[in-house]
Amino acid sequence: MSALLEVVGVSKSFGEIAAVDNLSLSVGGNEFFALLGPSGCGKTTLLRMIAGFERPDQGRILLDGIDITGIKANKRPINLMFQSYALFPHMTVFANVAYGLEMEGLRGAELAKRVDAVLELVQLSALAKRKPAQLSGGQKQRVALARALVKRPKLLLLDEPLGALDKKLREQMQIELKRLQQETGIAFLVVTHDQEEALTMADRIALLRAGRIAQLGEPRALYERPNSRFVADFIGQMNFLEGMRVAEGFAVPGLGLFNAANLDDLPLGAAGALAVRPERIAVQDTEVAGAIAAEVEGLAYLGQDLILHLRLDGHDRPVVARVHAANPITMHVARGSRLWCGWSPANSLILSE
Amino acid sequence: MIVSRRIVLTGPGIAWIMLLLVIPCALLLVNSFFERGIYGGIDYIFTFENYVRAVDPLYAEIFWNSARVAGITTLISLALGYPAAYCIALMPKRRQMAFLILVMLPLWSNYLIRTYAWIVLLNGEGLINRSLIGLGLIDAPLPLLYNDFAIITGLTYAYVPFMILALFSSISKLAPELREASTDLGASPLMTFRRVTLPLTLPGIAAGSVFVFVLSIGNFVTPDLLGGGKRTMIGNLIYDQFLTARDWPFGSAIAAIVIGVMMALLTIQAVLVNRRDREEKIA
Repeated sequence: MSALLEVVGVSKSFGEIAAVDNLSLSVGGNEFFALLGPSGCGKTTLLRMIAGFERPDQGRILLDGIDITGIKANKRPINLMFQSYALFPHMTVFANVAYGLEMEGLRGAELAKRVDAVLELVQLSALAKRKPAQLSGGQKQRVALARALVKRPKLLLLDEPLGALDKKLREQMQIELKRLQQETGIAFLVVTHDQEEALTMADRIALLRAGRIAQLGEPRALYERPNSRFVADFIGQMNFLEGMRVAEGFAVPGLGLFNAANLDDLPLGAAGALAVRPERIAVQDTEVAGAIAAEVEGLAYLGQDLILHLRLDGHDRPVVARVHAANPITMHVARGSRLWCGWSPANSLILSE
Repeated sequence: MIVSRRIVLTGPGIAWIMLLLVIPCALLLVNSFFERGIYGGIDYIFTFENYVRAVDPLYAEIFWNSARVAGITTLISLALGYPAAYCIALMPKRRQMAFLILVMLPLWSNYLIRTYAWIVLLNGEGLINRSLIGLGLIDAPLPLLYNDFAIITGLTYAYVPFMILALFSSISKLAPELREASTDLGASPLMTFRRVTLPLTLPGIAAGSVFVFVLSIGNFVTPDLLGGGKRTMIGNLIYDQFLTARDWPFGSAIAAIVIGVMMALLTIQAVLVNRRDREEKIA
């Protein structure tokens, strides 16, 4: 996959604060790419620089190999779907969608054909004559999407596209956006703070922290092989057991020695944390050799899963385990229950930073 | 209980409006249907004569001239006020307040003094003419004072702050994303202004224009001082009827017509703004 968008060493500061700090990444021609991170990590600033609303202090932005850093926003073959949707309140849905094509000089039947086609794509044909104020949040979101898609940009930028929608609609639209991206073949670059959204939709994710990329990769890689505690904690939920690398393995005070998938990467004597996902912790109500004894401190019932807060014998920080509802122990486990838990070394990582 | 509390709370306000606005206007309207007494009083004999006189070509021309002067003043105020309001609306919040105070500052000084200042600036020996002659741009002083130009200059100067305030409130309400969205969709800055900013700030334009027009058309001080009394405007006509000709009923009739026109304009503006608001309420 050749790179459509290349961000090369881009920096941007606002006063003293570096919003984006010497950041580089590339997005492929038919890719669904997510910029993920907590608020203030610089993801929106980066998006606005790609759209052309902010100028980088340093670095270049290339589209199809052409430097667009100095090109004005209205001349870039890139469109942005605004977080607030920014629909023109004085125009109908049709006029909103037609606006961008009119700016290209398109008129009459050809214009109407393109607008009708994209309204059909987002299932809004019936509402073409409405004004934005007469639409629901989800409908507005579709208009904003249609307005950007109708221009057939090379790259579509989406700023927190699902942020304003309720949970049910959001899940529906995640699948819908993915479908639209595949049907149109346009590269999507989504900015989001919602890790679940990024995991569901994106082909690749760049997780940003303080203006830099903390980790870039496919969703599975970020989830399974986080390169730092920040990434492990931001994507999904993670248990950390503090300890130190010793000759025989990884020593966690009070619990003993552990092995992990990346044990050999850690130098002897280095401090770190053993990281285990809650759903990778196997829990049983009968004693087995090698398992760690624990007491249930609290539990939360989620329907499909049961969340257990466990106090491991000999360890002072609670550990969270996620047990599938089909597991027979969920029938009788309660506060104060004694359980035995463990995990395979392949399902745990040692993170030093 | 609730009803009586409402009366207590709204009472003073309503009393104020009744006493100082509604009753005087009603008296004016009533007086306009009576005859003038021989020595300047009012003879309580019902007549339409005052209104018949008011539409006489002589007075119709004064009406027309006033509307023309007020109209030009409004257009110039709009042309000067829009860029000013636009710039202020784009400033950071803290600086906005400073500039708005600067805009309003002249309103804190006396209207007469400000108008006299223009005489000093505009007359044959005034600052503007002397500067132009000094620069060698003209040989003889330009006739800047005691004409429509002077009246329009004075009125524009006096009322442009109202235009700026009305436009500012409208422009600053406009979400910056709307302009960005327009740019993003390929519009040039001029096109963004024409298709997005201008239509969405029409309520402000209407409010500011009605304000300036209504204030200008009723003004009698500026035409008197800067127009040199040669150019009678509707405000001067009413003033003269009450204080010089002592024809209160006729003065009342003209005043009633002007008030009617102003109320019609304000109502149209309010209705238009309401309708747009309902249609375009950004949910």
